[in-house]
Amino acid sequence: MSEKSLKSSPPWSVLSLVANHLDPKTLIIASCVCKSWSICMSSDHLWKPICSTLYPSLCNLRAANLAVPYRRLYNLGCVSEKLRLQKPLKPHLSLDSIIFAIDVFNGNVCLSTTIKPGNQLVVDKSFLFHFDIDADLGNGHGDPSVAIEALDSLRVTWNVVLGGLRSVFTMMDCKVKGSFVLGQEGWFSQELPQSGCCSSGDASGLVADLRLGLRQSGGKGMVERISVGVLSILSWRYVCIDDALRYLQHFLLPC
Amino acid sequence: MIVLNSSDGATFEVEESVAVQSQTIKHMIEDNCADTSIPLPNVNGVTLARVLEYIKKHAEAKDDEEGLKSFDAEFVKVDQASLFEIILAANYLDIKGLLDLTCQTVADQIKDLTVEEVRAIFNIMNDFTPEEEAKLRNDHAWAFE
Repeated sequence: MSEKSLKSSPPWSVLSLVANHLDPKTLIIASCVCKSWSICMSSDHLWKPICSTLYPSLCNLRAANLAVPYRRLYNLGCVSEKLRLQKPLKPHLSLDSIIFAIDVFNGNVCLSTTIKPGNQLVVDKSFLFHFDIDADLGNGHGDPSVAIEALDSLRVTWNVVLGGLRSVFTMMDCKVKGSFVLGQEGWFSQELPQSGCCSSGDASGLVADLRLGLRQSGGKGMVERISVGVLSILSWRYVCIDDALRYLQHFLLPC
Repeated sequence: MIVLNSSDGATFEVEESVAVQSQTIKHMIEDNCADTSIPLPNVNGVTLARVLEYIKKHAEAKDDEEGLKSFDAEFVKVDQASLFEIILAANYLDIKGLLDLTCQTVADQIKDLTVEEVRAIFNIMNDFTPEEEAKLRNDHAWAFE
């Protein structure tokens, strides 16, 4: 093989002839070698066949703008292909950085407040944003129980707090949907607002979902279990934790 | 027999059936420019000799694919300067097989190299400013992965 000792750059005509045998990646690398190589390796006659083979529809963009070099069109094609394959970025929030605060009201009286740090949440094996929490009882609000007749007027708020009380987002503030099933479980549901910077249309496509599980004794009910989650309206399934965190970060973190 | 004159005055005899692998020579013969000899002012003696070696071999052993392949592999084992001369000659004489072979050889030398390695092989000075080079690389990041 010819020795790779220091010689001089091939004459321009040789370079042009060799360029016909180079693949796009090598053409780009060669363009970075020096200015004269750059001019040689970006010629339209080199890139036109490459571009028309791989991205024929992009070549038609030249009808709108004849000055666009074929190399630029090819580059656009490559970059756009990579973007399509790109996975969403990891959320900037983690469960460790948030706290759930869930209040149950009977009229204006707060029956119970449950505070659950994110790092104490039990994550299911599918990594869905759906958690079962034991309600905090005896947290100083007085009698946490409520008469069965009054169950249907219960109101629930679910707030997500960024650790250090830096910000708060209210997931829901609503009354029960329908009525408490057999006086034992109530379902609360509220559509989540669109996040503003990267959502489309009027809706986020997400719903905050909360179920209260009661324990009954002597004609009264007491909140025992709380189940919270975020559902996608499209699939009516719980979203994964990362998706929910990516949603929440729009509201909890400075943009 | 056809007589060819190189740029530096060397003379070569070759059979017409072999010489017409060069489209340039073929057209000159057809146009009756080849009465006594054909002058080739763009090709020196050493290079012309090598080119003739190629076309003679490819005429004789036309059907021996294996033999031609190994001949070609050996043929391109020359220093860079000579290889470039042969490329220019093959282009001027319009001998497609030889042009493809020699260009592909140089192409194979530079593909899969980094920019710095290409500069090193040909002893090329980088005349880009750091900003210009960075912009080129960023705009085409996919080529550097």
